[in-house]
Amino acid sequence: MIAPSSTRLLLALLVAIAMLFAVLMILPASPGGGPTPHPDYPGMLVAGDGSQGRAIVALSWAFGALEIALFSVLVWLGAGRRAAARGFARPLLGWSLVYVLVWTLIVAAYRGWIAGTSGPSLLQLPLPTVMLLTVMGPLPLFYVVLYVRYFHRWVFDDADAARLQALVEMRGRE
Amino acid sequence: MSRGVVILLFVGGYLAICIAIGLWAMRRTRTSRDFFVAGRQIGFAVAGLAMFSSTLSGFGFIGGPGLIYVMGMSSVWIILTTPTGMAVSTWLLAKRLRLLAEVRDLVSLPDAVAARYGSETTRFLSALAILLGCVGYLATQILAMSIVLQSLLADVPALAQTSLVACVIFSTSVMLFYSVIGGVIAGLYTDVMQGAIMIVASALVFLAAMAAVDGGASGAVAAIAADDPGSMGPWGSMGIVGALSWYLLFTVGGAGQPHIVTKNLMYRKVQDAAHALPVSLVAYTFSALLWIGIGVAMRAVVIQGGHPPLASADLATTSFLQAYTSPALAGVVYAALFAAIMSTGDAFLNIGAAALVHDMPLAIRGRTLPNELTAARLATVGLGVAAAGFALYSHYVNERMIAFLGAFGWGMFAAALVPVVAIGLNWKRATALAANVAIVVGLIVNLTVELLNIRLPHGLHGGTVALVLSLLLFLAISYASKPEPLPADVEAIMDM
Repeated sequence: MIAPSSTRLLLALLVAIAMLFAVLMILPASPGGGPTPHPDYPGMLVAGDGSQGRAIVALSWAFGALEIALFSVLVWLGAGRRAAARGFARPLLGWSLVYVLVWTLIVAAYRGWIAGTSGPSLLQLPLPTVMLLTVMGPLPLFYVVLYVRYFHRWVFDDADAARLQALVEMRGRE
Repeated sequence: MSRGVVILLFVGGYLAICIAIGLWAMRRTRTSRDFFVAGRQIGFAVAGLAMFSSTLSGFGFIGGPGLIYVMGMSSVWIILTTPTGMAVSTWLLAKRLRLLAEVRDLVSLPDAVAARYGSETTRFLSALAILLGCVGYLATQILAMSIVLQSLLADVPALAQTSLVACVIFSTSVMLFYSVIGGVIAGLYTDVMQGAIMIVASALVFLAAMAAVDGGASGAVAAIAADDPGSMGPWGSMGIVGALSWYLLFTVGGAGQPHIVTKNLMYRKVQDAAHALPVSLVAYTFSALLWIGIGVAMRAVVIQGGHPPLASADLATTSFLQAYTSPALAGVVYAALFAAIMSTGDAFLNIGAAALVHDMPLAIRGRTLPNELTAARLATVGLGVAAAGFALYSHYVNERMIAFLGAFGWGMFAAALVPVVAIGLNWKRATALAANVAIVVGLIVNLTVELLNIRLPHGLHGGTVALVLSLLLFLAISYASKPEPLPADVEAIMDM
């Protein structure tokens, strides 16, 4: 089972996200930030130059970082205390920091793209979009690798199998 | 032989196989346990493909490309959530649900909820949330299938005038046929066939999509970006907050989707979870190519002047197939579209029927119905009819895009069930009161936002706000209330 502090961490992250939502609710939208109907093709939306206000970008960076922390805390919650005792914390924390760093670089690249300092990179896509698709997209596969590769160490070992067998037999006798 | 007839033959062949599987499964379905959880005898490959094909539905194959047509890269944020969402959901739920299923002999998610909280009220509320979400989500599938069918018949002169209502009736009938006779066994084995078709068709159609646009993939992107740079930016037309709010909703919300997480109850052994996860993920990755390929291609060809603007974004996939693929490829892809839709539809029919005839009677009367298998088959029909009615209402009265209808269904499940199931099964301190409040608040907030058509600033999704709110309340109320003792077996499972 999970240590109590982990659910407190989850609660703290959710409070922070809720506060961020509250700020977003009162923050005015920037002219280029919201979708508007396409002038020529009904049904399509356009984003204009794609620019968002500085405050929105800063808040969104925080929102993204909080989300990444939330995903890792949820994986931590699912893994439980025993996995923590068997060295689960270090790779999870390390990878979460990499994840946040990549997110930070994407936001920075987006600022550069809006400022016009970076042109198309791959297949005519802007750099932040390429980073999103090719780097941030596959990053969470690490959670999958941890589950598959270390299933018998961190998820379900032989001792668990024996305990399960005993439980099933106990229920059968009741 | 005309193009329409060739395509119809492919689809007819596919539907005939589905019906044959239904008839075969009927002989293997002798008890309600077989009907709801396939007797817990499903290996990792079947479970993995079933999870993937239940995830990628009409929402993904019809709504997804439509969403790219409407708002560019924003739609990709839903696809990006899949590896994270599947992993988070598996870490949180796969082991605990499978162990609980074995020790408590469970057949449904509300069974697991009742075992965890020892509360029939919580069982009832979770069944109610599943039932409400099922009708909405099932309506999405029926509407998607009917739109696909109508577009298909438009190519056959004798059937070109078939109305959408007639397509809804036919689509619902086929889906009901194999779900009613074969239960989840038919659903799972058709999922395997459907999954395989979806993977092959998606890879092929991606290549066709890129060939359809002047200049290929980079030509498509260049055309879209020249028309509207922001739509090919990292957040698409919806903006950064909207994209991130989908990222949160679709990642964390995955652990509350009953049609997906219920598959965890069906593994032959708990170790199957480790192998099912990559199977699901690889299959999804291939199939997402259709979503991206068709969406980008259709937006680009319309902008390049090669195709007239679409009357509705939901027609992106079918318009592409009609205009840019050979009859044989169109036939395979149409079969894949039906596969994607029907595999999710049958999963919802199954869990909805379980909520009606198993969970609600248990919560209210303390025992199940006398002939649960027959009741389950009748309930499946009733659910199908209700969902068909809601599909027509959504299309004609509410004019909702398939993708937005799907996002609403996903959000409703997420807010109502993630705290109760995903957190509650991993945290001993969680209480029944907190679970009940989280379900009710999740449902009310989602329904209010949807029915009153409330649009939040900066593209923030109402489902995301509902999810965060229900999680917050669940944790805060649990901390504030007196800890409740857990049954010894449930506590032992939570300690594993």
